[in-house]
Amino acid sequence: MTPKGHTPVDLESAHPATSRRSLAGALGVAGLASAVALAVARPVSAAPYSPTAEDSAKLEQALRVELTAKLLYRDALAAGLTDAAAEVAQAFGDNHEAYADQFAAITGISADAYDVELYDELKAGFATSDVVEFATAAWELENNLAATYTELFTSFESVGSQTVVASIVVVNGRMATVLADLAGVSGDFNILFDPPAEIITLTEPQSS
Amino acid sequence: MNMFASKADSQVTRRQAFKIGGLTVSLAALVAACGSDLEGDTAPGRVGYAPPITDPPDYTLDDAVLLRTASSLEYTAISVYEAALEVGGLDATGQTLVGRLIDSHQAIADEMGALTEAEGGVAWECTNPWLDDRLIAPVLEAITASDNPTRDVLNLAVALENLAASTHQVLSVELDSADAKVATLEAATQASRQSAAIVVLTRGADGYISPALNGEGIPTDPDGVPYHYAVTDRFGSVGQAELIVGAADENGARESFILQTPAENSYIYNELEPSC
Repeated sequence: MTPKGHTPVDLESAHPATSRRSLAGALGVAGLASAVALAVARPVSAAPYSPTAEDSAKLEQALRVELTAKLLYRDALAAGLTDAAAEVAQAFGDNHEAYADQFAAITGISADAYDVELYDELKAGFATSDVVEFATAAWELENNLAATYTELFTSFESVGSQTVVASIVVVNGRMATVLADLAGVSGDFNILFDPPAEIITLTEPQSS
Repeated sequence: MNMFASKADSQVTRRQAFKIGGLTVSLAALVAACGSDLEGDTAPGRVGYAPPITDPPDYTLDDAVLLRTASSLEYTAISVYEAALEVGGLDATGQTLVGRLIDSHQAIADEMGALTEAEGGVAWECTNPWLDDRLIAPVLEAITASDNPTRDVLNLAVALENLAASTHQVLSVELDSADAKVATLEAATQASRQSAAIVVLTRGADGYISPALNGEGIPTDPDGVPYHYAVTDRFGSVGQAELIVGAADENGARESFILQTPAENSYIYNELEPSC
């Protein structure tokens, strides 16, 4: 408990140390100024990385759509799809579950509710063992999801939201191409590369 | 008091002696350095042989640069497809597909050019010289000597579409202009569709889904070349990709090329003059 006090070195070097600190301080200011100058020379976006409250509200709705898509693919599997169609339904359902999880991860919202209205609207097309019928319904869904996210894209304020959404849209396009082939229409390049699409209306979660 | 004063004076004297000694040596070095008889190179000394250092240019990185870079990738893809058509070997469906891909890349290049001008830049209508020198030229040279040029051309096409998709995906987030962000996101989706189409039209259901989605390795064909897939990842990847082409050497190994999204060394800065 004996106070150590100042060491002789501290006392001896008091004045020079102040000079060194001043120098270090001056260098620090210079470094900071350089950093500021660099930042000015190469502007970076002022957008936040984490989703804003507005972003989260939209991502919550998107999350519910993704869970709906997962359920629809699971229905297709349960309806008796086999071989390549079953593999597609399993993998694409897993993809949409992963997207819902990702939205939940960046917003902190639980991934536990799907869009009942959208599910009821689409389930007839998915709950079938007919490969062409399933592939056509799923192809429409993937194209509509890609169009919806593209439409929403610039309304997301945060870099994190845009990054995740962009990484999903491109896979929607890939999945749609596979589904077109599964439906037997990949010889039509208009269907492959310029498919029709409708924006999905995202709905507010129902309060229970 | 005199005794204390004398002791204090002697301490100062010792310190001063060190200071004066150091100052003398420093001044001597300064005088020697500033001497009028100084001769020879004044540049810092170099050890060993090394090429002269070139200071990197300090170019501005803005939306116009990113959009010019996007254009350059589109023109690079067009040049490769045109080369594939000249080589021949494609059936009627393949030729129609390649023609469609050229039209698509030209349309995107035109859109990127218009957006570049909207941002105050000059539209870039040439290929990407950095990619040409370090990727396209050596890859095409390897394909020329390949035991299976058709396979290699298809794999190059898929790789370029994937590179275009990744690049546009990155740009859609990095760009500031809302119109440019949407255009690049649409271009990323289009390139993804095109990559997937090449695979499903050549491999059918076997090429639908990469085993990588389930954490499994990518299988290879009987020649040891990795297969490509329509759905490559669960999320759109912007990481580097490997392309293996060319003839096998005596050990069965083929040339490997790494494709990466453009960065500072391959951007088409506003100061660059067209090379075509």
